[in-house]
Amino acid sequence: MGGSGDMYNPRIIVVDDDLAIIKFLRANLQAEGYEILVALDGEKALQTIEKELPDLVILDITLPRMDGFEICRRLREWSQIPIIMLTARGEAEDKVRCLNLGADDYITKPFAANELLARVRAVLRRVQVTDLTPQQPSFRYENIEVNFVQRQVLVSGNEVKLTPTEYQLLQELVLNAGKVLTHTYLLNKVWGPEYQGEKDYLHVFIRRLRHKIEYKPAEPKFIITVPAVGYKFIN
Amino acid sequence: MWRLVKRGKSSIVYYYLYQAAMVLSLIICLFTIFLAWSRRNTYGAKAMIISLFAIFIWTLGFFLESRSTTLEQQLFFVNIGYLGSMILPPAFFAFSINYSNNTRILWGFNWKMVLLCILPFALTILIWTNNWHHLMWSNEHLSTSGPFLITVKTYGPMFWVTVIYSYSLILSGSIVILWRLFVGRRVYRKQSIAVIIGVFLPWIWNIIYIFHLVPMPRKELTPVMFSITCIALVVGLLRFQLFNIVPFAHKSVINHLNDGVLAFNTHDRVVDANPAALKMLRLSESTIGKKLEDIILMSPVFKNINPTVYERKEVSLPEEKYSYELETIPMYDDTKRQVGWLAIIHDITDRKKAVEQAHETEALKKLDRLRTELLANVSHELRTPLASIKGFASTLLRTDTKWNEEQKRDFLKTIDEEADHLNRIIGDILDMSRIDTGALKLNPEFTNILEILDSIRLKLSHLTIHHNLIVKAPDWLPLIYVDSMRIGQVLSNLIDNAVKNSLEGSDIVIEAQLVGDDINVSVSDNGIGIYPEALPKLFDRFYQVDRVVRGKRGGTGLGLSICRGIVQSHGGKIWVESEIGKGSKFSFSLPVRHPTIQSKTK
Repeated sequence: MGGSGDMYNPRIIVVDDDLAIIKFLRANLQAEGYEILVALDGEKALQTIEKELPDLVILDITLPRMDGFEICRRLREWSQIPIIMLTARGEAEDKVRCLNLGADDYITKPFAANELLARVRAVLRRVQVTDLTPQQPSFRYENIEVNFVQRQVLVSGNEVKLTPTEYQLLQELVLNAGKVLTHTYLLNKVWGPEYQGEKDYLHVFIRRLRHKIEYKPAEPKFIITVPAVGYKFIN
Repeated sequence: MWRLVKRGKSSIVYYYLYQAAMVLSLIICLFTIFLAWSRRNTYGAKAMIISLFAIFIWTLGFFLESRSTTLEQQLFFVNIGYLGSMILPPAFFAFSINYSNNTRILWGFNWKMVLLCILPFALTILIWTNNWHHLMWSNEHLSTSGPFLITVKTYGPMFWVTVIYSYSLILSGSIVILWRLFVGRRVYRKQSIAVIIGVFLPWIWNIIYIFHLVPMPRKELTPVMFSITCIALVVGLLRFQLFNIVPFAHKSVINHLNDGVLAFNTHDRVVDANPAALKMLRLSESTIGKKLEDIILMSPVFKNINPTVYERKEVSLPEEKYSYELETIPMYDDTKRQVGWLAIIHDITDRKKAVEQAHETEALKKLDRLRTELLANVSHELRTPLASIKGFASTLLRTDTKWNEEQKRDFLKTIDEEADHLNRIIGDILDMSRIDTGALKLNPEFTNILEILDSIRLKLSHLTIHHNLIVKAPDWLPLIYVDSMRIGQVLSNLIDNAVKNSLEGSDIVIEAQLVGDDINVSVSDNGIGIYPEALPKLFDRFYQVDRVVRGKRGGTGLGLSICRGIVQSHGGKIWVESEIGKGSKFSFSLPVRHPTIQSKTK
């Protein structure tokens, strides 16, 4: 089974101080063929991620000394690694806060093993180069350039670092430039069918994208909101 | 109808001028009455209306007299006129007093007023009954003076009484108004000038008339002059709003203030007090004239005041549940000499209450915030073991993976442990809430701390098996009155912490000793120690230095908080000393005799 079946198994780091949860995550993820790293606190987590460069971080919010929010913020300073956050608080503002800080997904404790595995698969899927490589090798509009082969985005010639999810979302938008893409379509296409109701994700990621490519994120020129319907990339 | 004697040209002009003046006076009188009537509810207005009415009668009588041709007619109308001139002096006097706001002297139609009216009343009777006694005048006959046909009389003694009485009343009234002119405020001065002009014109005329200072026809013109008074008062009314801001307003304002105002002279005697002050101090009107010492005896508000400087202070009278703010303000005259002082008492009971309520609301809000925080913490703590239970249960239920027997057993064991942990958390939360609400039931009895120590050591032997447990205690210790079960709970919690925080094989020392009136118990380990910054928060709820301690499940985050609650409810204290890498020492003290401990059961 496994997420890839390619030449190597994706490596996942689990950051939590609850040993029972670690055991639970490890057992299930290993059964899926993933390789597991463990960190019990934030500092160790940051060190391990820097050294081992895993493919995914599963990060608990409540940690001693440095909390999950802080770890997430620090990671995003240099890394586009996908992050799934875990929390036992289950408050709506936590979710938005996680996504705003650059996390890719969010799960509230308690959760079932299948639920977690589905999310892990969905996030990893976004990282992998899709088979449907676009016809044209790149897209260009004004000062924005997207190179589909290298998965690289340039704004006025400078490279902009996007997380895999952000890149997938932008690619979907520019490939359909000029067309209005509905919320459901985008969620389905970028995140996966299990995310269809999660409009929060879409809003947060659109905002994150705008911050990275627009001159004035508050008055977007490229990624246009079509109220109550969805978004489109200007043509 | 009437004839003029000696109709010289100038006489005719004078005659018509006089008639016209009289008619004009009557019209002005009526007009002024009308104006005053529209303001009849202001102070002094009623007396003014009566004065104006008297002038009207006086003028009317004299006017009709001047147009009469027979002696009887003339006498009759003059007598009518005298009716007005008898009413005027007391009414004018009353007006001047009211206007100058000396209400204590005269106000409305009280007995003092009646007294003033007795003499004019008697004199009026004498005037009308003159024919029988001739005390007023005698030998009346018609004569001509200039253009007029006049009645000439020889005045009797009572007439002069009338003159003296009337003029002294009017003079007194004028003096009162004059006084107001010089002591009043600027606005009042303009009013007073108007009034004074009105008052003194008739006077000047009268002096001229009585002493024949101007060669003029001998004809009474006083009522005409009084009508000039009317004009002056009209000006006062319209231009200077005579009745709108009469000086009385000051007094009225002070009387209607909610703040108490007392005026003292330099001998600390009360010279004035408004009703609010009397009410606040629970004093009567008779307070006026009393000395400060007497007032302090009756009401303690004035204790310890210094009337020579401006002072503002709060005075609370707990027995009366009132709070006052007392201001003392020295009063000076124009030469900067202190002539007395004012005391202003402001009732701040409501303000104080409002402040107290605001504090209470703030405390409630804080409590509410704490509760919300607590709830968030509790739900987090409950969800954590629940997450493991749910996680492993769902793992075992996975159909896409086969787990071997060993794995299955491991998962089930974890579910079992986590369920126990969840149960412990719930127990701790219940204990915590009992401590919070004061519902922690203690069953105290006289116990020896050493017995409690022994039983706990036995109970925890499975836990401490890998440690070296040392008990240091004297052979004898006084009995303490405590709940053995709860103190045992504190001890096991501390020992449990020590075990978790130190290496296997290391020493754990339990020490009990008598220190003063307390028994001190301490649990020390040679473990990892606690960061200094963590020490102050250590006894807070849900504060955990580390959830994971060397691979073992940590506590609930409530243990030490509960220990503190239990020790404190026994009247004791709990504290910690620690050094990183060297170990920690938790101690608590219990009073040998705790007088206030309550047994809530039985």
